[in-house]
Order: sequence, then structure tokens, then C-alpha cells
Amino acid sequence: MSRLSRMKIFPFLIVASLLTGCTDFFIQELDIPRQDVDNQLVIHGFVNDTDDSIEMVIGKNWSVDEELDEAESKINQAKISIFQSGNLKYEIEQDPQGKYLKKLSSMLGGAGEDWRIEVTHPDYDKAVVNTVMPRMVFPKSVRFIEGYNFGGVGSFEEANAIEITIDDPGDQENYYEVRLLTVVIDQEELIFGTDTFYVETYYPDNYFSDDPIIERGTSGLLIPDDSFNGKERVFYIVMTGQKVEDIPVDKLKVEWNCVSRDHYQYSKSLQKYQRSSNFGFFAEPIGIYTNVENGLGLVSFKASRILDVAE
Amino acid sequence: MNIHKYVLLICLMTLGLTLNGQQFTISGYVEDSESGEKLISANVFDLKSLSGTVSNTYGFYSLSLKKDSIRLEISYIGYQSKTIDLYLNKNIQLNVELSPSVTLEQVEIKAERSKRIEEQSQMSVVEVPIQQIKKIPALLGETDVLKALQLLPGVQSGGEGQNGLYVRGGSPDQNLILLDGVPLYNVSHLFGFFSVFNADAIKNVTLMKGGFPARYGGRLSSVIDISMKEGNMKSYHGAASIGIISSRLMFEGPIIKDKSSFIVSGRRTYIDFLARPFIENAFKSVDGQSGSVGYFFYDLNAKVNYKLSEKDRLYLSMYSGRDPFYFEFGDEIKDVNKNNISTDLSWGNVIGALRWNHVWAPKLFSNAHLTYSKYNFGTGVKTEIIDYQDDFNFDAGVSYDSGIEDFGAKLDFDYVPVPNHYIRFGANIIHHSFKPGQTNLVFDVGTFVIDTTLGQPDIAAHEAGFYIEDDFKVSKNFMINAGMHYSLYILQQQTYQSLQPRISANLRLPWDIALKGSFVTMQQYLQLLTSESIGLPWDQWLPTTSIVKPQKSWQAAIGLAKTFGDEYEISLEGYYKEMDNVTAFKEGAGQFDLKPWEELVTQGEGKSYGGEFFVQKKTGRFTGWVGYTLSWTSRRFDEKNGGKWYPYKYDRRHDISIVASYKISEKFEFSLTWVYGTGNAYTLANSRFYSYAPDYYKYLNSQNFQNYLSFWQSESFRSRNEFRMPAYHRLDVGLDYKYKYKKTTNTWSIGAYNAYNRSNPFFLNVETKYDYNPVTGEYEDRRALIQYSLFPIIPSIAYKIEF
Repeated sequence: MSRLSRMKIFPFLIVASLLTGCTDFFIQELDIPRQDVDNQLVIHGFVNDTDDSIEMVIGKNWSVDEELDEAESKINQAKISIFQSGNLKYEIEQDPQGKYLKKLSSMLGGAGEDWRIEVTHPDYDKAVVNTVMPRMVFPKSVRFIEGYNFGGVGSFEEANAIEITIDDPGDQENYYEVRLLTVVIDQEELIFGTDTFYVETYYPDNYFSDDPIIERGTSGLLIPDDSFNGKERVFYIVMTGQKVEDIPVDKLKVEWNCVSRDHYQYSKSLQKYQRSSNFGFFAEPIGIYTNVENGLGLVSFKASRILDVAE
Repeated sequence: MNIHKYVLLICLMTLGLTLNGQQFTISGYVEDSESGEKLISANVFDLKSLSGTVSNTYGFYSLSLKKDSIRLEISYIGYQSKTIDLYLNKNIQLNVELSPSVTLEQVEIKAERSKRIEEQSQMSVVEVPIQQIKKIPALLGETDVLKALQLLPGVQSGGEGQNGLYVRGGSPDQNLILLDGVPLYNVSHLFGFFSVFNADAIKNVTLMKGGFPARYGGRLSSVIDISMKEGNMKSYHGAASIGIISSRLMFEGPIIKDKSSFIVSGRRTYIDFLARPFIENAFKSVDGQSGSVGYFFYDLNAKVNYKLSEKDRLYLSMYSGRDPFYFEFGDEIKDVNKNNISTDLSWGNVIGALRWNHVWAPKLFSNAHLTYSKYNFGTGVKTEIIDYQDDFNFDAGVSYDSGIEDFGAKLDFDYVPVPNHYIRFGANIIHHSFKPGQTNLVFDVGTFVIDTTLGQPDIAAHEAGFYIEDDFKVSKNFMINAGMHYSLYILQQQTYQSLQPRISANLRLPWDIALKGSFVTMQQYLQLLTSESIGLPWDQWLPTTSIVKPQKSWQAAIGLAKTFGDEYEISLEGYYKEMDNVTAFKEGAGQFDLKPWEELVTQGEGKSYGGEFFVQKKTGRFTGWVGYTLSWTSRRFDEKNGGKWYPYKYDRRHDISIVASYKISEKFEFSLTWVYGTGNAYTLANSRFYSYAPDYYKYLNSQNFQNYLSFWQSESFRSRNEFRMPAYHRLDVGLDYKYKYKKTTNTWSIGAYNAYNRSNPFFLNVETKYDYNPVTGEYEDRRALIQYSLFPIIPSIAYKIEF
């Protein structure tokens, strides 16, 4: 083979490299692997012991290759049966506005009792939720702390904080959820007529905790008691956001929730799912927790109160 | 049998054999006759008594034989063997120089008798000649040691173009990568597309996938032991090469002939140099603006060695490499205002080693070793605003720094009491200093100044190890390598220790087939905080603590090995490995999370098993290998995938590699590589739904309050990593044209990476696409699975001159 003929490989390589100018090489659409979708009911309900109504959202899941908006995902003609300690307590059907809403004659109550929710629909298998209404465990104290040192280094080491002392009862597994609220009276009074309405503005991104026990959930900070069961424990919620820091103490409120383990797991996993989705290629697949047997979603019964913050 | 009895047994056996008959020892170094380079694993064999040994990492050998006439054959792959007749009636020191088989054409590898695979007690070990590595076609023509290792069975790459090594189901942090005995913590340039090893400076590469001898410790899955060249003791030589993205220069020679030598080798990319004028002009095309952006990487290897005496040698080696990226932008309106912003990103290693070899006695050799290794990653942003009219200045900057720094000391002994025993023992200690990541903030507006540091303080830890091992030839047909490695780890008040037994055995079957087996346990105290998707320079090395426990593993392997016709080495191995306390990010946690790192990780278990087939031809005009791996790898974490086992992302059922080089003539050599691998595992949602949660706004009256719900579109999946990306396959080709001109050897290399332009998956993503419907005139959305690929066919050309 002469040297010249061997050199013919150069034009070949150059042509081949030019072929790569096509963007189809870098981004290609593949067939989505066929999967049998388990068509399931998706049930969500967040019910407080002090509520005088129960509302649930009944939806469905759908295939990954389809797009559905929120309204399209809801389903009609479902029937909800709610059992308290084994006895049928309420039945809910869709109201004319399409809501699954039951007005109660009094506050729900039922602390410490087992609740069972069954949802049926002609096109779906029955979905069942077994949960418990947690007993309310009030914090021993909720105090405002000015200039709390949260262990940072340098100029940003101090911030205002809420100190919460919990005297945790040892006879049960407790999960607490804390949200900071600020009370502002404004034009909402006019919109809602003669009742005294307040706007509760909630800034979840403006506070955090440096306590390793506390985890962030979708709806607030979560405190599982597994590391201090039956003991007294003090927690600090650090307020670093400008808006929260500027609020007078008498306008600060703490929404104190005693939630079920299901609620804790769901809130934590949904928070992680949302955070992970932001990382695209680096995203970790997160399974969103559900307490719905034969379905998806969460029905959470919780004991909830709004507490003042002491100076 | 407990450890004390085991050690006692070894000592008694050794003593017994030492006292067996009058013996003398022949010892010395095996060297290259042209350069004085020490030859590692050269075979020293007495043809009369059929006893032999191999030279160690420093070229030293020691062989004790009975008083008698001996016929010593010294051989090494690629060199002419030498036979020496002696009458052994006293201890003899004999340094042997071997001549390369082919002095003019370095590309053809010839071998006389070298130690056959079936004669080695160790298993799961592959030595790849550096000449072979240099011939493997590479991305953009950059010879890459780690990518060559990815072509071996049992070793997988993380993905397209990546340098990460996944050895027998392990993760990249579980590889102990040693350069002249010093651990390297980041082995990648350009986000993993190139490795830091400059082939011009490397003498030897050994990969161990299992059957680890007791002298190694600290990682679970592999040992990659890379030795740098020492420098030519006889005459000055050099090499220079120019490629598409980088140039290399190597120079070596004697400082004092036959007594001291040096080697210096450097590599630098130059795209930033070439592009800088164009980039700067582009910025300047707008009035008042200026700027620059660029990226490069460099490596610098240097080594000096000095022969203090026939018994003492000193080696000083260093490596430094870095990847800097920079961006600067300025915008000025004269006498009105000026804005400057600059950012930089940089990462790299610095290592150094000082070694002292001493021959205490013909049977006792030692190596004392002081080491230093540092890896750090840093990034920063600075901005400056000057308002000339209002006399206002604003300066702000943020910088981030993380890394690890080690100081180590090591003392190793090689003791060869009798030909049947080769005993190694030693100890080492490492002081680790971890920097988990600190952010410095500077904010200056003249009247108000902030200068603060946030983050976690440095952490110090100590790791120590002691070992003893014996390569014991029990009989003509049975060899074992047995040993014990003890490790101790101290971090503040927390102490961990571990006793790790290691054993490999070789039973020679009929037809010279070796049946090999091994069992090893390993423990690892260093943790790497990294994404499962890709290794990145900001991955952090962190210590084992009271919360994050040390990783542990055990591995058993069994296999057959045989050499056919002096040329073809064939091995077949099966392995099973279990790992405990493997570390991974918790679901939802990531490197950008500001929580303390111990809260971001979870620990679980892993297992891996499979079979590997390897046939290698190291000599002749045609060289190369074929490797095939069939394997399963899975992980389980309490906090992931509902606590159920799932396939590891790099669980690759089939993995094939073919590497071939053919010397067409004295001047031309053709090489090709073809790889095939089952696609990486990935997670695909099974269905979608809306998730709800109480919202941030509530409305309250005196009696009641009500939740208002927010909703998000979410996905559910049955199990993690349930699906497979399309298979990966790629052909690389290369052609070298070599000629001599005066006293130089010149080589032109052309090649093509991904020669048939296969779109290999880098990652997959489910996205919403919008298609135009000509009937309705509207865009309709639909979901689509999109594959992103990185490298099409990439031609390369390089020129090298050696003198």
C-alpha cells in the first residue's frame, strides 16, 4: 500500500466529522417504554380536629405520556365513607359544585381514635385509608428569642427565633408540625363581609431550624419524637427572612399540629420530590409517600391549634 | 482459627523452611540496559532447581537457593531474556540489565519467557503494558490510562466519556488510585472526560479487582497502582507531541551518569490561548465593554532518583495538575460608572513522595515512604461597581473552598527467607485533613463592611495500617498468598478498627491450567459525597464519623487461568461481593444542600456478582485483548426505594471490549477498540398524578380556620432503576505512521473516536413536546422520552517526536 493511498483516510475522516453537524445526533426522541398503568384513585384530605367540615379531593392518575391539567385529573361520582372506631360516621358524595365536602354540625374531634376512609367509584377499585387522629400535645412554652445564635460563623450568626419547649409524652409516638404565621388585618375584611377575617401570611422560606431532629416538610417544619420520646426538649425556629423579622411579636403566631406518621412521611417525601425535580439530570427519583391502600395520595387527620408567641 | 494462631503458624513455617539446609542468596536489581529504569515484576528463575521469584516495585529481587551451580534466567516482557551460570557458594549481589527486544521499533512487543498467569498466586490482577495503553485510540487523541482500564473485564465506565471506574459493582470512591504509592483523590480533567495521568511519565499500570494482597487497604473495590518513570540514567532523551487540544513535553536524563537521574513531563491544553483573541475582540465589539473567558488544564510530573550506594536509593517524585476556568466582564462609561464581574472555578491535585529503598541484607529489602496529597476545589464570584458621579463604590465577593489534604508515612519490608516464601510486612499512618466546604462572603459599600465565613470547620482524622503477607509456594502445584491487614481510624473521640484476612490460592491442574480462588475483606474510612449520575470536581471527600460508619466488604472469587502457546493468556473468573455501609445521598438530598453533610447521606448495603472472561495477547505484531463481563449489581438503603433492593445505576448485564493493534509494517500500525455495554439503569415513572398539601395562605375567623391546598404534578414509579437506556457501543480506530529522521523518531497519529457515529445515551429525560397541528392550527402538547448524547465521531491528529 503506497503512502498516498493510506492518506485517503483523511478525507474520509473529514467528511465523517462534517456529518456530525446534525443536531439529531445530540438530541433524539425515543419511544417511551410501554407500561401498564395501574389506574388508581388519588385521594387527598387534610382534616383538623377543630374543623366543622370535611373536604376531600378525589382524582386519578394517568399515563406518563399524557398531559392532564388539574381539573381534568379530578373524577366525579366517587363515594366516600368515613368510619370512626369501626362505625360508619359520615358519607360524602359530590355536591353541585363538584366538591366532596361534608358540613358538620360541630367540630370533628375524635382525638386518639382510629379512622377509616373508603372511596369507591364504578371505574376504579376501592381505595382505603386507615389512619388515626393524633391527640393534641401542647408545647410547654412558645417564646420569642431576640438575637438567637444559631451557630453560624461571622456576622450572620444571630437572628430572631421562636423557642418551643415540648414535654413529650412517652406513651405514644408523636409527630409535630410547626408553621409560623403572621397576622395582618387588611382589606380581606371587606371582601369577606362582616365577619372578622384575618389574612394569615405564611413564609415558609423565611425560617428554618438548625436542629438536626427537625426536617422540612411541604407544609412546615416536622419534628418526630423518636429521639426524645417521653422527655422534655427545646427547639429553636430561626427567622432569617426580612419580612418575618420585621413583624411585631404580638402579630406572630405558631400553627401547632400534632400529625400522624403518615402525614410526616408524606410531607417529607413531597418536599424532597419538589426539591429534587429542580436538579434535572442530577435529580434523584423520589417516591411520594401514600397511606392510600390501592391508590395514591394522603388522608391526614391532625390536631391543630394556633398559638400565641410569648415575649 | 483466631488471628494469633494464624500469625504464629506463618512464622513457624517460615522459620522451619529457613533452617532447611545451607542456602545462599542471590539478590539485586533488574534494570533496562538503555535507560537504567528498574523493571517491575521481572522474572528471575533458576532453571536447575526450578525456583524463582519476581522483582518488586523497585526492581529488587532476592532468591535464596541451596549451595550448588545455578542457571539463572532473567526475563521481562518486551526484553531479551538473559541466562547466567553461577556457582552459588556465598551470598551474591547481581544487578542485571536487560535489553529491549526491539530497540528501533518500540511498538512491537516481544517477550521471552515471562511469568505466566497460571504461575501467579494472585488473581483478579491485570497489568497493562504502557505501550499497549498508548496505542489504544482515544478521545481527541489524548492517551488515557483510566479509559484503557475501563476496557478490562469487571471494570465499567460511568457513562459517555467519563473517567469513573466501577469495578465489580463498586463505586468510584472505592478505588484506591496510587501514583508512586500516593493516593490521588481526583483523577479527572474537564469534568471527567480526561484523566490526570500523562502517559509519557508512566512506567507501569496494575489493576487489582479482587484478591487484594494484605499490603493494600483503605478501599473496597480496586487498587490501581501506577508507577512513574524514574528517568534515564544513561543519556538524555525527550519527547514532544502536539495534539488537537493539548501538547506534551517530556525530558529525562542523568544528573550523574548511572547514579542519579531525573524526568520532567508536562501537558497543557491550549484552546484558551487560541480562542482568547477572538473572545476578547467579541467583548470589545461593544463600546466600553471588555471581557474574557477560558478554560484549560495542565499536568506536571517530575521525579528525581539518586543511588546513594548499592544498598540505598532515594526517589523524590511530585505531580501537580489543575483545571482552571475563568470569566471576566467589564462595562465602563467614562466618567460615569464602571461595572466589573469576574468568576473562577478551579480544582486540582498536588502530590509528593519521598522514598528511600534500603537493602538491609540480601533477603531483606525495605522502602520508607513520606507522602503528601492534596485535592481542593474552589470557586468564586467578585463584582465591583463604581459610580464616579456619586462617588460610590461597591465591592462584593463570594468564594467557596473544599478539599482534602493528607500527610502520610509508610514503611514496607520485603523478606525472602527461602524461595518458597516471599514475606511482606509493614505499617503506615496517614493524617487526613478534610475541608467540608466553607463559603467566604465579602460585602463592602464603604460605610458598611461584611467579611464573614460560613460553613463547616476543618476536620482532622488519622488512619493507620499494619500488615503481613506471605506468598507461599506450598508445593510445585499449590501456591497461596495469605495475609492479614489491620486498620485503625481515629476521629476525635471516635475510634474504629478492623482486622482483614486476605487469602489467594492457586492449584495447578493437569494441562497447566491454574485453578485460583481468593477471599478478601476490606474496610474503608473515606466517604465521597457524590451524585450517582456523574462525578464532578466539587464532589467532597469526607471522613467516617460516629454517624457515618466505615464501609465494609468481603469478596470471594474463583477462576481458571492458562497461557496458550506462550502468547495467549486466558482467564475465566467468577466473583461474589457484598458491601456494607455504602454511602449515598438520601432521597432528595444533593450537593447543593446547605445542611451538614452527615444529614445528607444514608448508608445501606450492596452486592455484586458475575463472571469475567479475558483473553490477552501481549506479544507479536498483533496484540490486544477481548474481555467479556456478565454481572449483576444492586443496592439497598432503608431510606430509598421503600427499603427494597434495586439495580445499581451501573448494573451492566453484558459488557464486551475488544482491543486490537496490528503492526502492518515497520512504519504503520493500526489499532481499534470496540466496546459494547448493556444500557445503564434508569428510573421512569409509571404514572402521573396531582399531589396536594396545605398552602401558605389561610383565612381565619374567630371560630374556624381552613386549609387551602396547593397542588403539584407528580410522578409515581414502581421501583428505582427499573428501566434500561439503549445499549452503549462504540468503535474507535487509530493509525500510527512512524519514521526515523536523523536521531529522532517521529510519529503521526490519526484516529477517530466513535467511528460509526453512534448516538450513545448520556442521559434520558421525559419532557413535554409541542407539536403543531396543521388541522387545528394549534400546538398540541405530548410527553416524550428524550435521549441526550455527547460525542459524535471525533477525528484526531497528533504528532510526536522522540529524541
